[in-house]
Amino acid sequence: MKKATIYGLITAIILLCFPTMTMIKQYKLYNNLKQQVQQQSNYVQDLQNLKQAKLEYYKAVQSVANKFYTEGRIFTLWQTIQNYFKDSFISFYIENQYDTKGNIKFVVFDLTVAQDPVHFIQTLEKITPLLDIDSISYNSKYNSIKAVLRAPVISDNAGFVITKDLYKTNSYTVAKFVMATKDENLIPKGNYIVLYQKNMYYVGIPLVTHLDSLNAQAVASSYAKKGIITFIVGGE
Amino acid sequence: MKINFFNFFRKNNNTTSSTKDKAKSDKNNKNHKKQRYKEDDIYLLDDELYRDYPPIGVILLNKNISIDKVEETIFKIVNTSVEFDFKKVGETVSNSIYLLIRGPHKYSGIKRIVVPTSYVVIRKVAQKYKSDNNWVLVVKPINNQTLFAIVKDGEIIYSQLRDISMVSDTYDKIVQTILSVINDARTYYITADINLVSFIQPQREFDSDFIHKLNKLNIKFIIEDIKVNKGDYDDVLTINQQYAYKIKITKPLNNILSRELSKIFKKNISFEQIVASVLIFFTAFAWIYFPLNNALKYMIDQYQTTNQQILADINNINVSKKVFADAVKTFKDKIEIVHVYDKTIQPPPLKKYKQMFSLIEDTQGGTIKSIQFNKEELTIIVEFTNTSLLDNYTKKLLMSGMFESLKPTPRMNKPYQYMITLVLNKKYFQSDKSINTNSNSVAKEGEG
Repeated sequence: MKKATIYGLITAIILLCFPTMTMIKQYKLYNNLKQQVQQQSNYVQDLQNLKQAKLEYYKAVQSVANKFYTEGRIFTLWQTIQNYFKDSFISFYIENQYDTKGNIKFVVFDLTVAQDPVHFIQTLEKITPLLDIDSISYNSKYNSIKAVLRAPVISDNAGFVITKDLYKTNSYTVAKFVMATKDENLIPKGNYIVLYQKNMYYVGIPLVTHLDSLNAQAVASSYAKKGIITFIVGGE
Repeated sequence: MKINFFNFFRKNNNTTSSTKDKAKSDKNNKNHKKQRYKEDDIYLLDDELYRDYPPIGVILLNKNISIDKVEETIFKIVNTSVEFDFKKVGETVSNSIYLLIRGPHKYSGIKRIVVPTSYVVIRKVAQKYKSDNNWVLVVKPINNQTLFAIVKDGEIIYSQLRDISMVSDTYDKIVQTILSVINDARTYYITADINLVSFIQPQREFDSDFIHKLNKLNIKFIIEDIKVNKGDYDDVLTINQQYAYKIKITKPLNNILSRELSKIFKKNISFEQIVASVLIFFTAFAWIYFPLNNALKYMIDQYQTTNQQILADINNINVSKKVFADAVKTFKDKIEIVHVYDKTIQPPPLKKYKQMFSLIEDTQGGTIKSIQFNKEELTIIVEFTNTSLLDNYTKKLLMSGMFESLKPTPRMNKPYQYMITLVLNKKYFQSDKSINTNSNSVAKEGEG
């Protein structure tokens, strides 16, 4: 009987060796991982690096802030133009793509105003960062200028959603802003979508259609984060 | 080797005094139903065969019966379908054979009991000294072994089979063995002195030295030549069947298991012992194994879960680190771009353009119809009623230094209208070095 007891105990102990070995293995792994995680979880240096880089970037940006535009500023530029040209403003057409020369990106836009060239340039002088003039077409009969202007851009991926108030409708379209004009006749023909708001026609390229109001705002915001100026139009 | 060869005959007679033995024996005989056997029911079996082949009974069959029929007949006799062994152990003059049966007991068909020859012989010696009221040690050689039995009051009290040969072993050894047996017997049953040793057919002559040794121990001895006759069975016939042989109620599988284990351990192991051992084995095993195994499993689970969590954390950390590194790189790239812009971009010459357009608009008698300007050349459609005014106008423009040359000035279809095309002097229209940093309207608004 004693032997049976001893054999039973010995067998149990032998069989227990296997889970014990597994347990020891897991424990060793645990210790290794613990050390690894302790070593790797030192975020302080990473955070400092990031903070430093961010600081340097903002300093650099600050130092040249009066020389270039960002996507956010392009929209502000258009508002500034509206403010400065007031009633003489006719239309603002932004080129679909940036013009790249070397490493530098330029936003190119057409501006149509009812002014003579001297007054036009006088007004432009008020706007900083300064806009360069590619070309000017002046027609004295209508006292209108159509100028092709350009400005250097650094992307900050902060586009704008032009429309704040939405029409109450079931379906919305998010469009990439191309043009704002008071003259309906200046709206180019093609697959454009037009939003008329506060005596202004907003012309854009449809990006996403058939959205409800919440989704439309979300989509427009997501495009804005990519640096695209958008507006939301009720209906398709 | 010590074998309690006959102990099972005396289960109820293990008392110290003959009176008690007898009283108890009588009581047992009353309690158990006695069965009287006829002589034909008794089969005397050779001692060795009895030992090597523990029987449960003997049956008598016709000699001419075939082997197949033997089995069939035994089945009929024992009236059971369980397995059993059988062996031919003898023949009669009347054309019959004795078959020794081994297997589960309670075969109603078996009438004969089996008794080893030695038992009958010793029993006969016991009967011989029944009236002496003395303890007698009976020594009976069986081939190379010797059977020692202690008898009293006509009963076999105690027996041992020893590996000692009465023929070939020394007298010293025989004497020592006798003393050892007596000593063993004292340990178990016998308290009184044994003063007589009965040697049954010792198969050698005792020399004086041996006799002297026995006398020195105060042991008398007698050499006897006892043979078993048919009438001697009579005494055996009074034996209660319960004592005649002992068969455990076991199933064939149990028997096989016991037998096989006995072979392995070289020891007689009963089925109950096996079951008990197995139960104890598993109990001991279970007491240790299951709680510890569960505890270990729990710990393994805990470690595994924790390890997985840590691995996930490490993965997240690595992802975060990569995001940090990417962000730092992005900022550095941006800084680089900013520096490139800073070096490359020069303020546009708006002031010079304004001067140029002021100069153009000052026609001194002419009327400007339209102006086309780009960075290469300037085209003006102007109306002059007098060509000398036109000449003065173009002369003024060329003298300004803003233009390199004047292209041919064609006259338009409309009267007095001329198209003046001037090539810009690029050196003149280089960047304005000074920028009005105070009026950074868009920058301010943008930041807002």
